Amino acid sequence: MAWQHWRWMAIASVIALFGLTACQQQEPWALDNITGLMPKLEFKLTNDNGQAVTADAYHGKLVLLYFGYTHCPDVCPTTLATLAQALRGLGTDADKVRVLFVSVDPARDTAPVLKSYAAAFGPQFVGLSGDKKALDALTRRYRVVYSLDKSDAQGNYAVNHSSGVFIFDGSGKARLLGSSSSKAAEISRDLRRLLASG
Amino acid sequence: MTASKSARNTRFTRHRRIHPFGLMMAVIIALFTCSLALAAPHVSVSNARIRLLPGDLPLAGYFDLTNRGDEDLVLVGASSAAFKMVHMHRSLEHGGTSSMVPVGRREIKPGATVHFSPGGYHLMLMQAAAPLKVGEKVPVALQFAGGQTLQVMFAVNGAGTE
Repeated sequence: MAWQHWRWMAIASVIALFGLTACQQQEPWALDNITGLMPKLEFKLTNDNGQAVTADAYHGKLVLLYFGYTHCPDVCPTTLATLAQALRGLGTDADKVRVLFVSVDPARDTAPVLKSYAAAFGPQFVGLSGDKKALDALTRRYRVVYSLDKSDAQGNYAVNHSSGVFIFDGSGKARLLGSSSSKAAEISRDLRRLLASG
Repeated sequence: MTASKSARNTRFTRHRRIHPFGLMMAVIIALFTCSLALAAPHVSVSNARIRLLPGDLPLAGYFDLTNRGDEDLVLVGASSAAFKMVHMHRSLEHGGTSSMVPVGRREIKPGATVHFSPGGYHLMLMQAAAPLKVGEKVPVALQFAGGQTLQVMFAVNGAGTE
């Protein structure tokens, strides 16, 4: 009788374990999982202090890479505000994250402009840019496009840019892809999970 | 010719002599009523806000507007003494790319609410007359087809806000 009890308990445990593992494997990320689908983080750009910088500078940090331009009144600040909110949700762990805002409008986005712009969203935000060659190398790497609209009479122009937020783990491996419509709470949850696994 | 001119002058003089104050009041009341009729579309606006960015970058203005009247309204633009230029815009997302297009008019059916909100329709406010501060309020006049306008106070919020 006792032996039979043990046998059933063992079987139940095995089933429960399988169940748990299955659950863990199936728990989906809120953002798109791009692990293995996109190349690791690599670029040669200029940071908002005017210094040349590569992806190595952010080794060990979770990196959120977003393309835009500072003269963008709506989508860019909306996305960056959402990322700022997601980072606030991490508490002190927010320091383990860097948001790299890559301007695809280097003509207007000089280092000082980018610096004050990035700082307005939080200390984890960094503005980057570069010449067309450097920008194209990066945008091609992540298969995103950007283009400049024609200038109006006052010389103002809009820029069409990717709405994707590419997320890399501390080793620079591409992991997740969010967008300008991702919710702060979802991003926060996924970032916490990445921090816990790394 | 001369006679009619002098007659008109006489009439005018007589009016002035009889009701100088009354005439002035009538003109003022007429102007006031006229401007009220033009300036008061039956709408309610809530959540009016501007997201402040550093420097003199273009800013976005957002609000929710409900048509409380029984006629179609058409929002055709906006202006503000606090900015040199105000345009209506719409952000679009196509195949993972964000872009922005100008908007000339937006219809609001009776009882309907339109949202000018992040990632969609918005006002683009350019070249601030003076630097803005978080917490202050700035007036923006919403312009409707037919010449009606509505002045709305927009709250100035920080960069990291919706």
